[in-house]
Amino acid sequence: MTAIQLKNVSKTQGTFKLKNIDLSIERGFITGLIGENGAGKTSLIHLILGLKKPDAGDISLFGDHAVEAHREALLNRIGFVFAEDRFPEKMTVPQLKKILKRFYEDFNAPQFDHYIRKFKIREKQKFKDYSTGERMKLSLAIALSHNAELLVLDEPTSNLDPNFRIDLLEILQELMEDENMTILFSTHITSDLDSIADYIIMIDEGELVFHEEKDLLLEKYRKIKGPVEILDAQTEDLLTGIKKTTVGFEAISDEHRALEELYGSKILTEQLRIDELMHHLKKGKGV
Amino acid sequence: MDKHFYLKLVYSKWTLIFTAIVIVLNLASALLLDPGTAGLMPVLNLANVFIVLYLTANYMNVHVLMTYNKSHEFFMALPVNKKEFIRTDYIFHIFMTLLSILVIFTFSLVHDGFHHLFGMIMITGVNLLIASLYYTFFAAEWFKNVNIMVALYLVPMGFTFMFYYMPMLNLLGADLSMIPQWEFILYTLPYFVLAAGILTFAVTYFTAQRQAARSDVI
Repeated sequence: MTAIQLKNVSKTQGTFKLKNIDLSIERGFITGLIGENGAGKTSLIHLILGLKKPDAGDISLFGDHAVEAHREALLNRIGFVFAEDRFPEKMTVPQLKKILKRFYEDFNAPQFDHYIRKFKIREKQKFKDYSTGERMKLSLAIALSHNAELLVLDEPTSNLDPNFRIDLLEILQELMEDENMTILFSTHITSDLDSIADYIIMIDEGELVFHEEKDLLLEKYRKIKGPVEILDAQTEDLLTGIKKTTVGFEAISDEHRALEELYGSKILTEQLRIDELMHHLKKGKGV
Repeated sequence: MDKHFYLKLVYSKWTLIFTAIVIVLNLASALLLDPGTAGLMPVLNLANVFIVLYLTANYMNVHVLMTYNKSHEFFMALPVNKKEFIRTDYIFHIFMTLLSILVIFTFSLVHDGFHHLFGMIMITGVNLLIASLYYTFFAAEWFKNVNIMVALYLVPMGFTFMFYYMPMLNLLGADLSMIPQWEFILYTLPYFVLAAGILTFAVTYFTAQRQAARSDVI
């Protein structure tokens, strides 16, 4: 069953366009959403949360296509974290808690208190006095405190200290023990996804580049290193994002087996990291 | 609906506290003070004007406060039905309008003058017309440019005070048979404005809800 489905979704905002996005995010998995700043990750999240309306196409959440009509019920099942905090600056945790209790049907106050203590968030302080990391922790505490089935996290780790980042990734992994939980995790710290993501979605300049299972993706693509002399038109066709240096070239390829047969020990094939894959695919587009 | 109402109450806390203070002062002045010796009067007059302005513009004020630090993005990502948000806004505005009527009523007890009644009718009518126009824009744009839209309120409301309330005070006791158009402007026009205000407010209640569901929230 799908948690999020987008069919041919387009949205124009000023000069930026999100173009014909087709996505199907399965329930029970962590999906990483990657792309450069301005690629369209946040716009996509705003569409999913119903903060923006698509110009064309269809969005369904938990199989429900009437997202606008059932917005309230659907958002009760979704926890979110924005890249930047959007808290009312003059409020404190107890005041916000009163509001959240009214807004979420299934708000779990003891769980919220538990996360407030666990994340060491200052309850009596106004939000304007919070550090960026503290605000992010508060966002996470809210997202984790109303028994959401889907977490939509927009750059949740970007302002966190390394220790808390690791704690958060552990919390997310614990949450995934519930097989109904789904997480969409947008980030540019792709190393976070190396350890936890099941699927990776990459978007670039408003277009979907790929949506694949992470392990298959990293199996499919390999980093290729070799001497520049072997680069002819035919070889270059098998490579993506070629970077030439004085000592040789570096690229990625989904035809690494063919290249190994062709060039044997002249080339070196290595396992890719997600950030390297993103970098070479972007370079391969000639941008 | 109660959650939206609660949120608006949170953001209207100070307006409501000052309204309660002004109503109490109005009643106390009417019951206890000798109007001839009350040095408090100029202050009380000013407080009444300000609180009526705040009450009738409260819906905009709540929206402006919600946009600080872009916190409307947070609130609108909570389980919110857009139509219900607009519906509660309309109900809350009626509630605040009734409070403004109560303020003017208690003020008229201090100053005992029937002209305040006409002023109240005119202000309520203009207030409903402005709110109707505001919500027509708000439903399409949501929180974008809410600060600019406040001008929508200030200009016509300022005109009402300057070209209706003030002339009415100045022409009090004048022989209006000499200037018959003032008779119409001062004592008939308010009813037309109020009727137009109620009608447009009722119509835009439905159109704004429909439009709001079709528009981007941020």
